[in-house]
Amino acid sequence: MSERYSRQGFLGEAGQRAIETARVCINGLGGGGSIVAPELAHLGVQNFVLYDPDHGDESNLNRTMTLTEADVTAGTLKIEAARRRILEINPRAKIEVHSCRWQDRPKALDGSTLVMGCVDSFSERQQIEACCRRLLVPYIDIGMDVHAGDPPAMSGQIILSAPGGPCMFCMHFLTEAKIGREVANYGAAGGKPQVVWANGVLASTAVGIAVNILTGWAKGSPPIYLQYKGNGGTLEPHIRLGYLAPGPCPHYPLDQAGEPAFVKV
Amino acid sequence: MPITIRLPRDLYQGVLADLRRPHAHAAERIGFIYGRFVPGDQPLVVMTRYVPVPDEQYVVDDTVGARINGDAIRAAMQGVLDTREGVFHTHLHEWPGTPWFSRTDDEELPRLIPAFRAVGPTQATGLFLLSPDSAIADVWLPGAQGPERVVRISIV
Amino acid sequence: MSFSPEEARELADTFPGTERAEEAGVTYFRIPDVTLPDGCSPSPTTLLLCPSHRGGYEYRLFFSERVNTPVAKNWNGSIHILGRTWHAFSWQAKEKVTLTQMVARLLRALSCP
Repeated sequence: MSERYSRQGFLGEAGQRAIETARVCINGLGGGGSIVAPELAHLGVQNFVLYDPDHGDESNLNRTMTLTEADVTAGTLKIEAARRRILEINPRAKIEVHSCRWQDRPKALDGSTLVMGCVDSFSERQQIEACCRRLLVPYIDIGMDVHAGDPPAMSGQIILSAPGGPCMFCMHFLTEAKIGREVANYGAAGGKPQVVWANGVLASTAVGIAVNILTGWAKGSPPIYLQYKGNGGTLEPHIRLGYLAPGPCPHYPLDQAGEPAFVKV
Repeated sequence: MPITIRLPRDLYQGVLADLRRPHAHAAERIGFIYGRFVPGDQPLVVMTRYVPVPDEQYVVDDTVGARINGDAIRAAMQGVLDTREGVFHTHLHEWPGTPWFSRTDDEELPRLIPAFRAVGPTQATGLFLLSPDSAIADVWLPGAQGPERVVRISIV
Repeated sequence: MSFSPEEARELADTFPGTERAEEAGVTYFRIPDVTLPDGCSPSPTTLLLCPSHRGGYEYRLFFSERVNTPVAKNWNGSIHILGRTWHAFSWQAKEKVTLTQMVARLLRALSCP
């Protein structure tokens, strides 16, 4: 094991190789993605696919770790800021950037070993999860919210949607009602509350799950749905896990994986 | 083009468990894994199910690890037609590490491929060889002249 | 909205080449080579009908490409379904209608303000 990764030697030589040969797609390089990307680079991930259509703006500076004030002035794309940071960590990293929604260039996602979802839309999550299920790619999703109240209630989630396992519909994180409300409120929603420390917890935990998937170092199944309670600073398995329907995921059966099978009516 | 195979963990463990079952006369077991081809710059085959060869479809032949009869081949072909998935002949070599196809495998297994390709020309077809901790696969992509060794097999 | 096998057959009779596929528990109908109303392009084009309540719409018609229409439409649905990205404009319709009527109404809506 090289000196660079000597302090993560417990992952094993095979584990380190798995990290270095993985191709990780990150959808969204804002608050969460800007932490995920450099952490993966530090761990030794060499191959990245980054999607984000946005430029950095003033309101991102409170939490987007790869953006600077100069970037906001210059109108730097979030993917470019992330690419810059990854290359500072590892100049040999191969980074494919797409300044668009992943739906506009979906084929780039095909060769991914893992997809990390760092977006704040239920509809976006549903679409990328469906694509990942079709490609049998594990999808790790993070997100946070702060609900009005006295005091405000901060919460978040890390969800692993793995082929054959429960999906975000199974876990009731995604529901048609939530997606419908989001569509109905589109344009009126405004920026959702986001802070760097909560994003840090969620992003780092997601990276830990990613490493577990790639290397198997923890020798057990990674957690699939963790709930973050920001007010108390705790992370625990979500209570909904106790109510999962038995059996394989009915929303994404394995026989629907791969290219969709259209049948004549 | 680097080809990737993705195999769900439960399916993988089911395949291993089946291939390890003893047989009355065959030294090895054979099964068929079915998968769907996803074309692109990074072609992908996603494996969806496994069908073991029934005990009675093995031929008594002690010159080889296992030999299956015409019924087994016909059933695999029918599986391709019924589901429009591609099929992979699958067996296990029980020594750890990266497995390799034996001389018998190299001589005989490719002969199965044209029949499978004939009934599933738009799918990927191939040969899948497992060891207790590793695997290799040769894939015939749609329209390809010959096989390619798969670059990456991921248990997901 | 649920639909009957008869409705599916009527859809296929009206639009030859209609196929169906499922994703996330929802059935979709892909309809090739559909001629769009006058003034709309490109035509013909391929449609994807989602006849179920999804994403805040009782039913929705997706197009393989964004359509140029004589009246401005809010193309708010660039959505990845069944392995590719489809495009839809915002049009709420809540009446219970057959599959064929869904397609007809939404095609007509291309030309409506």
